Amino acid sequence: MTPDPLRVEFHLLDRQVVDLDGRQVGKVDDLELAVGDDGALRVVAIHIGHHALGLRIGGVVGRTMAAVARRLHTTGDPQPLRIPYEVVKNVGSAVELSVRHELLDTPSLELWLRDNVIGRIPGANHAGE
Amino acid sequence: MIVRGWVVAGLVAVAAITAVVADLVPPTEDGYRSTVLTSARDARSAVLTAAQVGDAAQHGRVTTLFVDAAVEDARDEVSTAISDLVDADVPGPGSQELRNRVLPLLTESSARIKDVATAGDDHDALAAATNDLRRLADALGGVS
Amino acid sequence: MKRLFSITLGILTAIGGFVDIGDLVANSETGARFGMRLAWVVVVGVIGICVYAEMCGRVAAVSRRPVFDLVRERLGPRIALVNLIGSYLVTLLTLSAEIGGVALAVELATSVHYLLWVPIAAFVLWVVLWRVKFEIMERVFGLAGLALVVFVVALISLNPPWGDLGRQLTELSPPGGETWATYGFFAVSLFAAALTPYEVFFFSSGGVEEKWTRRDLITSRLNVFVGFPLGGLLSLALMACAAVLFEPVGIRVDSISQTALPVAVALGKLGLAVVILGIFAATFGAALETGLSAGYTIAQYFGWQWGKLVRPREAARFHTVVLVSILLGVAILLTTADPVTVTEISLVFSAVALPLTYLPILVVANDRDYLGDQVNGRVTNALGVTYLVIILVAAVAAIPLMIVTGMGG
Repeated sequence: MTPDPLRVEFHLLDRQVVDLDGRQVGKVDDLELAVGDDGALRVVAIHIGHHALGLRIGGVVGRTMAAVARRLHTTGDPQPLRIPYEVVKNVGSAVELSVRHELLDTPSLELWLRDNVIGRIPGANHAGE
Repeated sequence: MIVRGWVVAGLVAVAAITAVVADLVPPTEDGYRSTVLTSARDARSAVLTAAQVGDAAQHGRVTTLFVDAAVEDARDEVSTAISDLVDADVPGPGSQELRNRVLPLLTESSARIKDVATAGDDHDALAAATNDLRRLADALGGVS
Repeated sequence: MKRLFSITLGILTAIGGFVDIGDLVANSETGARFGMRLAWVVVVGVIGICVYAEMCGRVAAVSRRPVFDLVRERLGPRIALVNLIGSYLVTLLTLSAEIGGVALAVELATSVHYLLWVPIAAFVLWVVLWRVKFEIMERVFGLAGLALVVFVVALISLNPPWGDLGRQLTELSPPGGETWATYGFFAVSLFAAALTPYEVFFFSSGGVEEKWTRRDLITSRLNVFVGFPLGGLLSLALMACAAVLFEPVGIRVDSISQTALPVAVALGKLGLAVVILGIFAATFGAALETGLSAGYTIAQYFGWQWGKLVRPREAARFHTVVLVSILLGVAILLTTADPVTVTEISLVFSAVALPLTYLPILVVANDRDYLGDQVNGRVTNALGVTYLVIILVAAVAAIPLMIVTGMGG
């Protein structure tokens, strides 16, 4: 199913990443590339994180976004969520992973808002279906 | 990128200066006349609406709560018209005369609109109030 | 049988959900000042929303992704960010206007000042967004919005001079006392009211929330091609009611009580109760949609988990954006800005933001990567491009017309 040839900027970058159950994990904010034994570039991992996105965009806008992301980050050292390319199952209208989102790190902003805001409101565990 | 930033800053500055200058320019007779005419026109709209509400109330077509809300809206409109007029600087004697003619009509509008709400179910009071309002609307429409 | 029922329900929901505060304000203001001389704009606008909403529904059903989820990968993160900021601000302004509309509707029923209702309306709105299932929420307020059919009944029982109204339809110029500038300003407002950006964000994200698949393409198309035009008919009835009662005597509409008055005059207290219910449902339903859309736009740009299908704690960022947006909407109203004025401003800025919303839809709907054999056909593309030109003209003209006419004068 994965397009061949896979064009990084066309098929991967900025595409939605979903887990095994279709849960949204994030966008492909940046990529980690490596040169293989044959000299060709290959994708090693997907990076997800607003800080990484800001750095990729660059310019005033990108720097601002990266700065805001750093601010909103609880530890002040925003590392992107790194997803090894081996767990990518399929690249279609979304990038589908072969793992569940529980196995991946939850972004710190999400975690903080869950623990301190949304999770504290009655009914936060109530599924909408 | 930096150039673009300066252009934007320049545009904002020009807009701000224009706004300040526009406020400081002395009002003209024509400008004042148009303020008065706008106030009279808006008040006439409110007065006629109140008259229609009064008519509907006479025929039992509206609830008293709706009458109260609609009357409140109409009076708000007239209040805005009055404060627009009062806030504008009077540029000359001709404008002063116009203002003296229109301002009493506006204040009376506000009072007569209120009559519709206070009349309640009283048929005669409603009829009297709507008559007054239509007369006022004619007077406001005649302002020129 | 069950399918037929659900399709009918969908269409009815689409009709009742079509009208929002923008339509209520723009259509009755225009009817009062221009009679039916600008009715053609409503028709043009409804065809436009049909063309583009169908594309959104198709993208959602085939790719299982809402259109704005795809914008960033097609336009790049920079342009998509500009797009996001513009769309979000306009949606926020619209949300504020809708909350104001809810409060005004309650004021009509209780005569208690609307500002007291604003926080209450916002709280109830948030609770519904927090607890009620997506489909129930959509259905209840869509169906209750059908109460606005009372405008059609009122129009007929007002026994208007049909000949005069008909003549105005074909008169493509401003009446005496109005200028081409005010004519243009209200044309742009009406057009923006029909094509408000949140409608397409919501329509495409809603399709994903309702788990549309290719099988649902028919449902989506029926909702759009039957539901929206009938909803547009309600807008026209609203305009005609104002045209009959206010235009001949030269009353200008600037409050929601005036929007409701023709129904009371025509049908009495029962009609009044129905129209207040209709205005309440239409604005509340639209407030739900704009509140969610505010969350959708931001979450879909960053790729966050969004929507009501998962537990709120698992979409904490999305729910935080929705909550903060509602609070910001309330804050705008608590400056005591008149909700009708907020609505008028939101329409002008909607017009400005229209290209940001509609161009990406056209781009994505032509992308075989997502849509395979379901990409736009020639007719759809011809219509789509034509509308894009109209949208650009409206967007460019909106601010100059607003300044020249002083918000319509």
